[in-house]
Amino acid sequence: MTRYAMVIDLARCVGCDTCSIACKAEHATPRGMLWNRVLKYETGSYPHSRLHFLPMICMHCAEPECEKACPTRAITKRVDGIVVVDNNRCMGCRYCVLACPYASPRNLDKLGSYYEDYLTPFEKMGFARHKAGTAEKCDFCLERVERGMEPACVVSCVAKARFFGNLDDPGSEVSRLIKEKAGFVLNPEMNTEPSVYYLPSVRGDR
Amino acid sequence: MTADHRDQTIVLQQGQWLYSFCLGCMQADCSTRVLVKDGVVANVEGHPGKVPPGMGKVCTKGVAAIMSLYNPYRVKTPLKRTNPEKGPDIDPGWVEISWEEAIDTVARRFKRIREEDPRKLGIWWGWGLPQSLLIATRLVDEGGSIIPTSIYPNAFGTPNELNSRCLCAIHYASNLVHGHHAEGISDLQYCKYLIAVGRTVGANTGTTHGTLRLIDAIERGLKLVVVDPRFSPEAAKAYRWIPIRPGTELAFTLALLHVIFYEIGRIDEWFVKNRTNGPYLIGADGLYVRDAASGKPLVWDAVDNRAKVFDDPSLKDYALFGDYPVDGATAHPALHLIKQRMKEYTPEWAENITTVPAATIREVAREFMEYASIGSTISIDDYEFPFRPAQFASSGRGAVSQRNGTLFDLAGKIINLLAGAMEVPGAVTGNRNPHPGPWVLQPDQDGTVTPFMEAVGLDFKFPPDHISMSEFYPHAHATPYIMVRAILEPEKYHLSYEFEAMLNCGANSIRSGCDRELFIKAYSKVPFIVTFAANFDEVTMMSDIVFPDHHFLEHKYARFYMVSHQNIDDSVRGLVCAMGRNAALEPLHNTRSVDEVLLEIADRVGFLRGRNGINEYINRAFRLTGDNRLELDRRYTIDEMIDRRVKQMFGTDSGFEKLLQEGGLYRFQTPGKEGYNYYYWPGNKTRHPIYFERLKMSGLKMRKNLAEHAVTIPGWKDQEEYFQFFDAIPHWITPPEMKAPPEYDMYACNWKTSLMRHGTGNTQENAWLAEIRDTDPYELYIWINAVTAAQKGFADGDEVCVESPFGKAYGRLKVTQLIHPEVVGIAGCYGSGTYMMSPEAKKGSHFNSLLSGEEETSIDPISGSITISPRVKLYKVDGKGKKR
Repeated sequence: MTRYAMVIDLARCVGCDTCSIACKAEHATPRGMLWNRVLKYETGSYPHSRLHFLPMICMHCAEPECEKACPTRAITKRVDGIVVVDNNRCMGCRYCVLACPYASPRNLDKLGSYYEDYLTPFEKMGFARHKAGTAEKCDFCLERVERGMEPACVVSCVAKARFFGNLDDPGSEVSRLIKEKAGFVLNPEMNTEPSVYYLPSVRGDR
Repeated sequence: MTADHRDQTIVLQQGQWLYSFCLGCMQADCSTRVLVKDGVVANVEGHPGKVPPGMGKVCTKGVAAIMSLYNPYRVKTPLKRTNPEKGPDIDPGWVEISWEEAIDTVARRFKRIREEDPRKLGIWWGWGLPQSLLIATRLVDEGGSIIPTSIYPNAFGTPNELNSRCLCAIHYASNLVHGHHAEGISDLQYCKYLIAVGRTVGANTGTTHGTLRLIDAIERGLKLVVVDPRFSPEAAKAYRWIPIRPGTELAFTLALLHVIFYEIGRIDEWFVKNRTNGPYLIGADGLYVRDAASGKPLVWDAVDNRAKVFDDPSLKDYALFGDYPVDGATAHPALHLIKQRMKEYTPEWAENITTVPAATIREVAREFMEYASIGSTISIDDYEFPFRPAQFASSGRGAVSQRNGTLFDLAGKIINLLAGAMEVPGAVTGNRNPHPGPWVLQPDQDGTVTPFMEAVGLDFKFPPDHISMSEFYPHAHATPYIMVRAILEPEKYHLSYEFEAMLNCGANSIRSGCDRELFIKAYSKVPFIVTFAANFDEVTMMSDIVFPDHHFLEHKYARFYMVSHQNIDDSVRGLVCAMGRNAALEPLHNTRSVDEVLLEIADRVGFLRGRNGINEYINRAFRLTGDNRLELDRRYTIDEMIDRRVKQMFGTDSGFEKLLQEGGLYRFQTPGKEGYNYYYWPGNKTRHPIYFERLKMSGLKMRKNLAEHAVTIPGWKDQEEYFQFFDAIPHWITPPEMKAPPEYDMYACNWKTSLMRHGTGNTQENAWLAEIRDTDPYELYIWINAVTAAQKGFADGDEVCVESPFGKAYGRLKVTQLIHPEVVGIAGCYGSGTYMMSPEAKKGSHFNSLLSGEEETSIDPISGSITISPRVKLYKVDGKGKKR
């Protein structure tokens, strides 16, 4: 079986946001819609303070809360583990937005453009892929994955901090990294079994 | 259920992929491919063939270039101004004109200027969007002598090649000590301990290859020590973060030297004796003691107990310390004097100045010397090198762009030299310009490394030729702040001609420089300004004629890779590379290639053909030989010129077309052992200066020249303030910032980010980058330490004004634990723009408004750098910028 998963190595991530921009270009998301975000936060007191980077995408949970919450069955988990939104079925009720512990799905209220009176040719082309009033989120670059390619955020990452592969294959790079480098998921207490794992920013530590 | 419905609309893999390369930052060395679908640029990715140095990666700015291509605020057609009153936000009364009118107007004016006095034209270049091989080609990566590459200014005949480089004057120390350009660069293949002071070694700005090499090295076990007033992305990966008071990095470095000399007491004696001028005997005048007959510098033979010339084959051992009698006077080995000079710079002394605890300074010095593994060797390709896997990485903008910046960089070189960590594996090494070979580290008549570029120095001339007064700053990278002062006060600056015209290409000197108001005033006085423009930035708005440039994605072009940036490892060692860019689409607007316009103007004015014309300078700068050489009297297209250069680099079966088909052509000319400059001049065959006699000589020469002409350095009330920098040993000079009036109770500091790196590539107008930066909790804010904020009564989100003695910057506060308590931090080069630009441009705070090029308070007279950490005060303002 195949269960697609991503490993994000926080020890390698430099918080540059190339993933966010590459995602934007890949999916032509309208203004205000980011499927990939890099959260930045600090801990500790000066001079023992630290800056942290936390790239966030859809966690493609094995037990997706968004799917359970969706009244129109617009959100489904595929057999390969990728959780997708069917914008033709979505009615924009936002139940998924509220249900997701990771704030992944967001409602696209309108097709926001970057300039008031002008739609760039890129946006004009990209708008055909989005539907106002429906929920959107990262789909692990489904179109790329189905063609044997890696997601855009993985390919673009300048620090090579992201890895993509099959979690069900114990010999895959992602399985190996999770095992060898103490991979962990966010909010395990939610029991959603995310397919996105993180490697600690300091080895041997979380 | 699958997402099949999407398959009907997706564009992925449909359309055409074309090879390209990026122009999102100054490096412009990431090979890419561009997806074009129905004539629309649909995506940008790294070159899938992993062409070095980018290795198939492209960063935020490269992908976001899609939005700068479709930016509706671009300059779309040639323009002339009708309003004689000039200002960045004054309506120029633009009138659209034909290309013919624009070119004709400029060519006629330039022709007259060239006949009268070519010095009256200044050519200002930069790394921004309008990019020209004729203007911006720097040294190319072939060995040998310095070659003139400022093609356009040279062919026109003007010395006034201008640039904002005073904010990045990082070269002098490396040009002098390593004898190459552009900076000492970190070999990360083997390094185990790296002290990065006030700079990035790759990751802070998310550059593609620099980041990858650094992160790989850290994964391998490199211990990174980050000395920086703010907690940077690299600090997040570091073994130690050492926050420091900005502008005091020299004191930190001098204290490290003190600890090495007086507390650790162990140095790489073999290296200092054999590969530096440390044993050279210095007389009471601070200069080498020379052999009367040969003129060669003398050293003291510790075994035979007498002075000998440095290359005497009978030399048994060199004395490094002590007093020695030579010709009836007492002389000292240079190292003796260096050690003596460092005596007062104790860690406790430095703690007081830098705020870095003395114990930390001691620990770092010890760790550095331990990791340097003095005495160890490494075999590469069966060649045995000294192995010194420790580096003090000094040559970076944050710490060097200070009044004491060059002295700091030179002191950093001494640390590396004491550990033998220079130009050997694991150490600070060459930057591939020129690429490694016998022409680097070549000893001069004194046996020391032949200085390169800015360390050579400009000859004195009076009255000065240069509008930027380079004659008074012979080692400066650039002194544009003096240019504007000379325009405004020509007599004070001994300007002997009237500066009449400026040609701008790829730079916005008002946003990216200092003294914003002075620049505006000076440019109002320049009668004729011509600008190749991507957008209506400040300089464009002050122009008389505007040539619209293609967006780079529209521009079929080439670039020749020159240097490794930030760091180096075997993935790029010895790399010789050319990158090709296909036009992804027909130009959206009435734009033209900058270089074609420049060639047309040159032809009409009359400096294209013949001796010392453009063609001949192209032959020299592109190093064209044989059939590749351009005939001097023919008119070539820029594409033909590029084709010759590609053929010269990669053989006659290559060429521009092949480059466009493959995206990148490359080979590794000096891999492995040949990539280390030590290999060509091993053992005692050459010597790095550790005692900077040449710098002292520069000061002495300047004194003599000034006396001869009975003049002083303009702008320096106390001439000794200027001359104190020209000494052979780095020493502490209290920066004016530390004596600022008490109301200026904080320091300002600035850094580049992944969203706003060099301020080139029109990143400040880019809608995608703006979207990310607007959601970032740090990017657009003015940082202040939480404890300081509490003491001063500031809260997160407060609207404030940061005021230096020279200017003001406005913005919103970010209260954070990630910055030194005395420091106000502002990222990037935001908060500047004109009413004709996207409103995104003006968001954020314009750090450079705080800076000045006022001579006595703000200039490093060696490098010409301005101080980028001025003292500031901070106060709350209301929505209109009024003090509350």
